[in-house]
Amino acid sequence: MVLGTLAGMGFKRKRPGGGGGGGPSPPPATVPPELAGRYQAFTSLLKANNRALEIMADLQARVRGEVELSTEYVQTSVDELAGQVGTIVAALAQMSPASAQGLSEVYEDLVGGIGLRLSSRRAIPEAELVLPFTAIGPDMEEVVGGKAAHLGEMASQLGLPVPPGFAITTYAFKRFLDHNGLWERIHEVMARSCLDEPQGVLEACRSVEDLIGQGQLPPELIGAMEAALAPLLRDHPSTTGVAVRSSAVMEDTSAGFAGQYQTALNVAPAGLAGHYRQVIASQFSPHVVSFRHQRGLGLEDVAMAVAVMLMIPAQASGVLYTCNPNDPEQKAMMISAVRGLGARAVGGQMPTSLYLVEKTPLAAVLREEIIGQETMTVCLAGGGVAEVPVPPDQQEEPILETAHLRALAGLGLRLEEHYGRPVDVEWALGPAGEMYLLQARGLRIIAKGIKPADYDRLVAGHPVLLRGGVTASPGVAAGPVVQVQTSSDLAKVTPGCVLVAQSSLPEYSLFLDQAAALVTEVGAVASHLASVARERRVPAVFAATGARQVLAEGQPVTVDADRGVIYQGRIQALVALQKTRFLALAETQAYHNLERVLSRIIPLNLTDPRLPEFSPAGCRSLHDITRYCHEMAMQGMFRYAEACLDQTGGDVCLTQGSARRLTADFPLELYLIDLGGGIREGAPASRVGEDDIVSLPMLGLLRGIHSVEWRGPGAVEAHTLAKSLADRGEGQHSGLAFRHNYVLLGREYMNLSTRLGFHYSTLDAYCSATDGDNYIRMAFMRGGADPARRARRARYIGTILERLGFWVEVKEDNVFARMEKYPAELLLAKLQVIGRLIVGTRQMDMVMFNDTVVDWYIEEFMKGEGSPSLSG
Amino acid sequence: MSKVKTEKKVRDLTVPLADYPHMPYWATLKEAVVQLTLAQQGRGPEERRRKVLVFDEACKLQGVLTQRDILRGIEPQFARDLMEGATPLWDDLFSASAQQQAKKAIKDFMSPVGTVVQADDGLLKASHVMVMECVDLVPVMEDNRVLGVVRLDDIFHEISKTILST
Repeated sequence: MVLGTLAGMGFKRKRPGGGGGGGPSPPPATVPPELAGRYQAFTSLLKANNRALEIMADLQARVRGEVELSTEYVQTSVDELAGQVGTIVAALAQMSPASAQGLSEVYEDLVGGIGLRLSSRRAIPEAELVLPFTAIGPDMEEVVGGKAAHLGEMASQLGLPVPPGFAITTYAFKRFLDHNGLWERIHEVMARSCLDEPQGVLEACRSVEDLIGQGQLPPELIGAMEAALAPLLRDHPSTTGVAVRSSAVMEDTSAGFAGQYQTALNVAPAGLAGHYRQVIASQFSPHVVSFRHQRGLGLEDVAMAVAVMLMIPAQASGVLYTCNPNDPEQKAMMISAVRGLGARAVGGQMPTSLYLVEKTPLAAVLREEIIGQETMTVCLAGGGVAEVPVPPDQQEEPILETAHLRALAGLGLRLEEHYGRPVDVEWALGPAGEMYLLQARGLRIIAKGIKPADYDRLVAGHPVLLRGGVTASPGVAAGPVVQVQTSSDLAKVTPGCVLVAQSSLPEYSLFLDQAAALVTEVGAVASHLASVARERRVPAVFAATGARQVLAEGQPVTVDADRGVIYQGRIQALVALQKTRFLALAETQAYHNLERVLSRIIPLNLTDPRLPEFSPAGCRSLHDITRYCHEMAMQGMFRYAEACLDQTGGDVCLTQGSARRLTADFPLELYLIDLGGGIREGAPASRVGEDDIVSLPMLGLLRGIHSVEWRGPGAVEAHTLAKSLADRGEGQHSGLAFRHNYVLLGREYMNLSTRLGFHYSTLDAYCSATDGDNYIRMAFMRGGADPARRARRARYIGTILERLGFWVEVKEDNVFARMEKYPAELLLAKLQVIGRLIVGTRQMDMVMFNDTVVDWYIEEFMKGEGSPSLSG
Repeated sequence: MSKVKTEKKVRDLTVPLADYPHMPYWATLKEAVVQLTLAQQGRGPEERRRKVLVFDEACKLQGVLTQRDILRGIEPQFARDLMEGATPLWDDLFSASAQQQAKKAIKDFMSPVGTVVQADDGLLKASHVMVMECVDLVPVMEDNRVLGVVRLDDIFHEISKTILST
């Protein structure tokens, strides 16, 4: 018989994870439904298991920041994953109800929990319209938005210096929209606009801003705001006004929104309602709308709360990073500062003084850059702010004294300890030298792994155009220069360009979706634009003095943001090198969502099937469930042949005519049961020849069986066996009733249960185009012989299988061997060896009368194998 | 003077089957050579294993393969050379045809079992059988199963001890 080469068996390698190629062919009608159903459940389990693992790997890659991520993506992936795991659970329940006992409850619990975490942002919770900071705890982000939640937490829980104030809740936002019928009208505007194009975004935003500007506040909201404002004014009679700040639900967790919302400083009490509407309207600024559209977020996802706090007439303001974003390993904090109010400094519109201090309460200064400041923003008595000259004697003076730096460092350490990670804090220095916290949020940092190797060689021959900029967002990118100034420059932006701007206005973030890199002449690392650039992983160099003169429009350049250098021309090799090492911790809501749900998806707690906790109750993640089901399914298939017998041990398959005798030129009686695709269509119904077999694993095995000479007798007849066992005083084994050797076949599957000589062996194999599904499992058991010989046989088989690369367990005189997740070609080659082993092991007991003989036979067998390696 | 010892049984001097080379009848001459060689490891010349017991799949004794039988198995090639007037050479042992010969099954070369003794037979009966049959080893049976073998050497040694102690 010619079996042809393995490649000729119709195998096409697919890339791993290509998914199964459809279900198995339907089994012949004569196959008992129990057998056929189990096989179909098994193949669908394998397929779903494979897909589930792919999704999990993808999510892991995304949480490591290797690939882009959106909330929509997370939702879709998690939904699909839950669906696949559901399929797996159902398939196991069908295959083996006992193994699946209690599993669907565990699954429902996990999926329910994941769904809750994912959807927790989807509805605006009913709450008070207004809440004072002192009544706000850390878990109230959905009610008061991120900013106010942190302010409330710092004020009420940590006792940190936060200006007194209150939050106008997301529920108030909902009531405002409800009151004016705005949900429908906004959705209508959005639906008819083309939000993929900047012009469409601009027009939609204008319409919605108008709608909101014309909206009326519900009377009960006006009442609640006045009631909250009254005690504030009563307790601080000298105040000039309040600060009205956005506190959108996702604002703090997504740099895409950072700094995009409006903040009104020193608002006179009478103007609160109007400014509230303005802050709400900033939810519909072009950048926010565009970002929200890209991320697939709904209005409810970004419900807008507003923080109202007593205005601090600050001497100085700024930002504190509790770790240096350009060098996270350094034990340092970074403080930027300006005189007066800080709105423009935070917005990146003016240069700031910079202090790099040790991350200790003493805050020793590591580096300081004092920038002269001629004007500053101050509060006006009747409300509003103004730009006034800095007194000449102060213009060149340091803004912060040692005591201030220490106060900030102390606050930073306290917050970092509380939140367990680096934070980004906005601060203000009050008129009496007291420090206030205006905002705090997590600081996410891009891990840098600068590889200096080959750098000089890569950049050789490319003139340096500009040097000395500050790293705002690390990385390297290349592209043609596009200079931008205003939103009218939108049209000039092309994908992959290098944006060159005068300052780091947050509005430029709108361009960052397309830009390859960003260069500004002015701008602080502690700015929203830098933050967005880091999130989007757009390399950015700030404070690149003279950039607009040096970098000509349209000129191709390479921006090495790591080193603050801009080269002439494209250095593709450098760009490619940098891309591979990028690790970004995205600061997106999607990332946040993913992090929250991943703990119920990824961790694998079930590792060892032999442990008692390897059970449905031990499953604590979706990964655990897939692992458990996959293992139990394979174990179930292993005992598959038992299903050929009825409860009294009768040969059901034979009597029902679903088993076909194999006519072969070797003396082993085999009865084949086709589960679908294992036997050629049109093959005879009662007896089939080897040429009728198309099951790949079976073909592999047959090649092995044919590769060695059959010696000795054919199949031992039942009575001979029973007699010989009795003759040898081994009657304890006579309980092993004789039965036929069944082979269950699918196109990619085989289960062979045989008695060869005095051995009982089970061989279960699946060899498909999906490496991850493939396996061989086998057991040699319970042969009759004295204990010493049984142990020798176990050693013989175990040693050979181990040398072939199998994972082998020898328990007493039984051998269990497994090989999993290899390409089909390799497993088919292994099956061929197993075929040879099965033949060669017959009656091996008799010759194994001492251990040395066993060693010799092992070596003899392996000689036939060439080099004993995995390459098979 | 000690009392004369009672006669020992064959059982007392039996080398158990697990300790003596034995193989299925379809094993090859080469395997038999391997068995004899390996069985000799760790034994002195007085314990030399010179035969292989041959069984069928149901563990029924089929024959005994002696050193003589093995040489005879290799011989046909040499015999042909002699008849053609050539002296067989040592190197012929490594020729392809000799290697082929070594792959033949032992059942074609083994000697018949001949007489057996029972485990409960006395030593003198066993010695008598061996003298009459001109063999130095016989299989020991019990309940129709092969228990092992008894060797003339061991029986002679036992008888000698008895004679010298009287």
